[in-house]
Amino acid sequence: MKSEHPSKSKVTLEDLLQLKRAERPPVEFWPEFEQELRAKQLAAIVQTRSSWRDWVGRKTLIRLCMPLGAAAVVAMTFSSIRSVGPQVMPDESTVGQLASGLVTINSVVTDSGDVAVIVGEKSASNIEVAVNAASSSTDVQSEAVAVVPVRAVQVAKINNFGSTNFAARAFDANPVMQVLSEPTLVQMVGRAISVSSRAPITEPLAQVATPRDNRRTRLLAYSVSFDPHAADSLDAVRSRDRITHRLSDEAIYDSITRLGLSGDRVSIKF
Amino acid sequence: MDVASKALAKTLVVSPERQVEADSDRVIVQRVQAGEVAAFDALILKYRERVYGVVYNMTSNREDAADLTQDAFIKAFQSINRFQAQSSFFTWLYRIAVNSTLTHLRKAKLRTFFSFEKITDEDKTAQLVNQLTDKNGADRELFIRELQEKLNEAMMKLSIKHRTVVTLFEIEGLSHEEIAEITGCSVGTVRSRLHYAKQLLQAELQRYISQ
Repeated sequence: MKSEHPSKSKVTLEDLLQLKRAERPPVEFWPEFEQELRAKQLAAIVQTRSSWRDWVGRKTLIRLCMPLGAAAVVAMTFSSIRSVGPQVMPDESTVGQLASGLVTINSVVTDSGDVAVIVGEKSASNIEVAVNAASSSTDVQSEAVAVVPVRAVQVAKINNFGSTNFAARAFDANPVMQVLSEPTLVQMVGRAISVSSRAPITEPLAQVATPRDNRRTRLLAYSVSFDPHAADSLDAVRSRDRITHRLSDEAIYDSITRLGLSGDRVSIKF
Repeated sequence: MDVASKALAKTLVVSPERQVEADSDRVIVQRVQAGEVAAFDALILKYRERVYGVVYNMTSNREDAADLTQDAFIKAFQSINRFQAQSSFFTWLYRIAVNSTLTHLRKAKLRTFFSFEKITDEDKTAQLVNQLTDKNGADRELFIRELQEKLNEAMMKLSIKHRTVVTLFEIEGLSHEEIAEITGCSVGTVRSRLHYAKQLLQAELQRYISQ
């Protein structure tokens, strides 16, 4: 029987590894290799330049974009604040002019002989309008008479709050004329203005409370109400406040150990 | 002896031939750094086969080896101005090639396939093959192919680090110090890796090796 490897007793690992040295590419391989290398070298040079230019371009763009973006943000903030913020308060002279306007209207109306309007000259807050209905006035006209003094005072107040309501401004511009021409409309607008003027004007963003704030508030309220004696202590309240402020959303979610559902109730155990 | 030569002598235990080689390389590198780009061709011509051999024996794939060798030369060309002659050029070039190959092998860990170069029938090789075969022509060819396959399989069973050390020491004939510099580890680590890798190879190729 012929042995498979008759001389293997003389071969070592190093000898076998020498065979790996003999694994070489043929001579024809190298011209092709060189050609490919040249092409890659050229491509690398071109790529390096273009990427360098891109980098410079990007850097310039970033340099320009940052101040432009910041300016845009500032401009948008200003415009939004101006659109929701308080208007310029009318000073006393403005109200005085309004009063004089009323006086003018008064004189016009008086000339017509139907209504008499008397306006205090000194201060807008003391505007008092007295409308004396003529003996021939209708019920509607007498109702308008009753409305005018109240509305005049309210308009002045609305102006002091700096309302942005268009109806209020329109009414403000010429209240008596409105009263005389459209008494029913005046009543309706008056009600609307009085309602809107009662609501304090605050910025919309200030009214938005994040869920985190709500959660903190609830936790704080709970912790304060939990121990009434400790609530008296200012330090205790401060420390609880600190603790609740440290609680992040993740920490709250992570601290949930048990979640139960029973009927329409969800119970969470921390 | 200038600063670069001193640094080289300090880090490596260099043979006189290597020292001469390193000095001539440094002259060429200085020319390239001075702007004589064509001088780099001399370095390519000088080292392409050796670099290719290292990469090929690490990957066992001739196409990948060609690509990675080209990449290594391009990287070396692009960063030649950063070469400060603290080590020899060939060590530096080997380091680039080995690192590129290691990165490639790590990326393509699951996608390994062989494509072998033909074993050149040199005197040494022929002698060894004759030792291993019964000198039958047909059997000889088959046997060489089978042996080559087994050798490469055994090499690919080694980890990338062990394969690198075996390739550089046993196949390329570099010293422990040079391998340590190329791979960036200590000489002791190189020795221990080499020892472990040899044990594994011995176990894999037991059929062909004498006890």
